[in-house]
Amino acid sequence: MKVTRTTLKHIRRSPYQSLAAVLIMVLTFLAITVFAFIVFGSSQVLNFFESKPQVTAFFKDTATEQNIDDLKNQLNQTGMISSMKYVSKDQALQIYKAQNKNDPLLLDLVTADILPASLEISTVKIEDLSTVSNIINKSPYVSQVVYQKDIVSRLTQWTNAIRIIGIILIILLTVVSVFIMMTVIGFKVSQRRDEIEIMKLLSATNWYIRLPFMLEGVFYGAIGTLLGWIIASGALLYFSPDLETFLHGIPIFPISPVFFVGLLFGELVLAVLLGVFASSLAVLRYLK
Amino acid sequence: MIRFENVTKQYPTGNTALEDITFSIDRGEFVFLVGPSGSGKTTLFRLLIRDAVPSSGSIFIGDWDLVNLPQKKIHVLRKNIGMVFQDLKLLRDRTIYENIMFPLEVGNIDSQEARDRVEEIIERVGIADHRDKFPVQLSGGELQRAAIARALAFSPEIILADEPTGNLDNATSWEIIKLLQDINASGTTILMATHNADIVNSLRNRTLILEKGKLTKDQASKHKKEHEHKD
Repeated sequence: MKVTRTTLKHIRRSPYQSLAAVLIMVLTFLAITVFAFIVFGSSQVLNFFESKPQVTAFFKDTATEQNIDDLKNQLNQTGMISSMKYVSKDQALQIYKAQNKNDPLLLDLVTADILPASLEISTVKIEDLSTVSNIINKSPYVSQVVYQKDIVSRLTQWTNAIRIIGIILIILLTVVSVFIMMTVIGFKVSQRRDEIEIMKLLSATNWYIRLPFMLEGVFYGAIGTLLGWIIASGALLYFSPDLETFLHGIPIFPISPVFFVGLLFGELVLAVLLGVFASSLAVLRYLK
Repeated sequence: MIRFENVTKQYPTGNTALEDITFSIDRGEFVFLVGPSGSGKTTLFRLLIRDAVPSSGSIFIGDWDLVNLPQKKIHVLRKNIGMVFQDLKLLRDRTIYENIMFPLEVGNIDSQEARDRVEEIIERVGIADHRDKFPVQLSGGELQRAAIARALAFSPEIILADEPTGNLDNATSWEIIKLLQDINASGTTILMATHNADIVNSLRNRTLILEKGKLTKDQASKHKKEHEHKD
């Protein structure tokens, strides 16, 4: 209790330095939270595409049911197919309607006639995809073949790039925030150099001197985390309807509250560690 | 109570502050440490509170071997020694009451016990009226009393007073000496560094004289001499 009072007194006595320390922690943890959302979102997008059929063959309007059945039989005979699903023009319209239910204008413009029927195919082994693709491409009734593999590999590349950039950014911000916090707390320690000397001469242990400064670091870290998390989470919730429209069909929203709480908890642990680390380093010089 | 055995203190600069000092002080004595500036008085005090270690020799306070005292035990030693610093070292942003409370706070003494203790000391040294004032609002004598009060916080067995009358007028100096004598009368051992020849000559307590880091004279107290003479 006494330690907490001393910590709060330290913070009150130099409010601008305390504000600077809190702001840098807000910035760091805002970046970490935003990055966590991006990683989470991109993983969900990736999972979505990975769970989709590996090849989708779109049929020309001239293709009859017989033509489609022939192609299905031909593919089944290869023994390479793990699953195959026929999506008729009407079913395609239902899917389209479900995906664009919030946009009546788009719904009015589209009828079943303009949507192609398709065959969604997955192979047992990934290496069989080229054989299956060759058979599909040779069919005169197929207008277009879409390979999920290409989409997934491009998405994986993007996700990895985002992760690397994010990690570098966070490391940089973390290092900067540790240095700023060290400087702020170091300055405060230096202002109290005489007091610390007197404390030591009057039988204070190093822990007694160190603890309020460490708590100060923890305080900056915790407040910074909380604010950073609130800003990022608030922004995500605010923009989630727009994001939902943008990512139509990809089931990211609603995000589980467990994810938000888990993220906050993890960030708080990190913030406490950073605060303790930075303040310990700052005080160390003066206790030697 | 205090024992110095062939103590030499040489600073890294090569300056020898103390050279081959040997003396001992018994429990309950009131001893003056006299010598010109730079004679090593403050260094001797620093050695006694383990703010410095000797280059050679041994120092004992009671059962404490100060040379071999582990770092983590220093704070325990300092609770047993009340130190009145030459520059007082009162915290400017705390009231007199808070300054006296400070060592008890640092020593994690129970709040009620600490409050009772401070009340008792503040009355004893005669600065109860100034409890809520800041050091800057007090006179030299009052500040000295506050510094002595703080030194008494843990009821130490020894008080080290470094020039407690240094910046005071004659009358106030005697008031401080009277206070220290009262404290000594209750059994506390006192080692006081001073330049004030008037006080030393009047009281004729045991006097250690330091010159250029050497103990040139260990003059027994007048009372002890008279006692020995009668025997």
